[in-house]
Amino acid sequence: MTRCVVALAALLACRASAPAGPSSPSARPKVVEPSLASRPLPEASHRILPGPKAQVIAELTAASELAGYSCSADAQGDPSCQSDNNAPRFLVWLGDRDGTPSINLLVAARLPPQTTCDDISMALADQRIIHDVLTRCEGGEIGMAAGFAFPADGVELRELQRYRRVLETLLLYGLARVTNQLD
Amino acid sequence: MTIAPGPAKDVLARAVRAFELAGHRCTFDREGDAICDEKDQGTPTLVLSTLESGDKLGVSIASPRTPLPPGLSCAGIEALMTGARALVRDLHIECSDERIAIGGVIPIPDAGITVRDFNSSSRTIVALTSLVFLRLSARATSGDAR
Repeated sequence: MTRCVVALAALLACRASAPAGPSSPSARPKVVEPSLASRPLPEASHRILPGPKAQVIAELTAASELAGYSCSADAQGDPSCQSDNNAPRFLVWLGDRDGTPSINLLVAARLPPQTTCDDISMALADQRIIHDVLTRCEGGEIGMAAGFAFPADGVELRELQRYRRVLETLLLYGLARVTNQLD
Repeated sequence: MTIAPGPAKDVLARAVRAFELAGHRCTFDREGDAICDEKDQGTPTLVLSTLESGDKLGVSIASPRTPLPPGLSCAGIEALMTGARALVRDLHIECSDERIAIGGVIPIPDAGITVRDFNSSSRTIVALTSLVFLRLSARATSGDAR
């Protein structure tokens, strides 16, 4: 996948501050449709192509569900996904930079008790498993984001999932280190 | 698609398809196990296979048994993994004769398991196995002896 990291700092600031906990039933945003249950399973080589935003968002939502998340629409109408285990939250949304479309990924989690943003900055200082990732930590929460170019011939589903997985691993790596579970 | 109980070969095929939809790339070896190798993505080589215990069926996702890094013992690794076990449930570590395998088992209930639920569990196992191997690698690199 051609990768083009976009300036996500401003987006991280607002996205990472989104509520992390489960919403009450009345406040829970509506599920993004169509969900995985109403779509045929794609092949791993399936390409997500540029198109109308609602259609692309539906495909990105289905991809997130295939990876094991349950997704709802956030305040901007983009997929905000969680699962019932200890995995980070995962958000995906479309963007552009200088007219170039992009797919942006964000994983976020609350910091463990008694740890600070400085702790996690130190824990991740020597990470070597991923490049071009922006990290933002404030208010007891850490987010890691990466942006991909969204070319006219689309993005392969498998590649999208692989990059999401690497982001998740990196975030868990940082959290494990600040809690001394990895040192 | 639901991964339902059935012949082991069929169950594994469906599980591997689900696993690939989560971004993995797998091939089958001569024994019929699926080998998913993505070391370049920060994920260790993983082997998917079916397990049967009594009338219970499960899919195992684990690193292959590999020699322990120099200076590490099974007892030392068990101690190291105490914290890792707290991070993610259902971690399995097999360590004997100076060889180690790490992973987990996803049970296949009688009613089957959806792709989403299967991958929710598989993602957890993959993440933790990756963390454990990162840790072991760091220990081996730093020459920490136990």
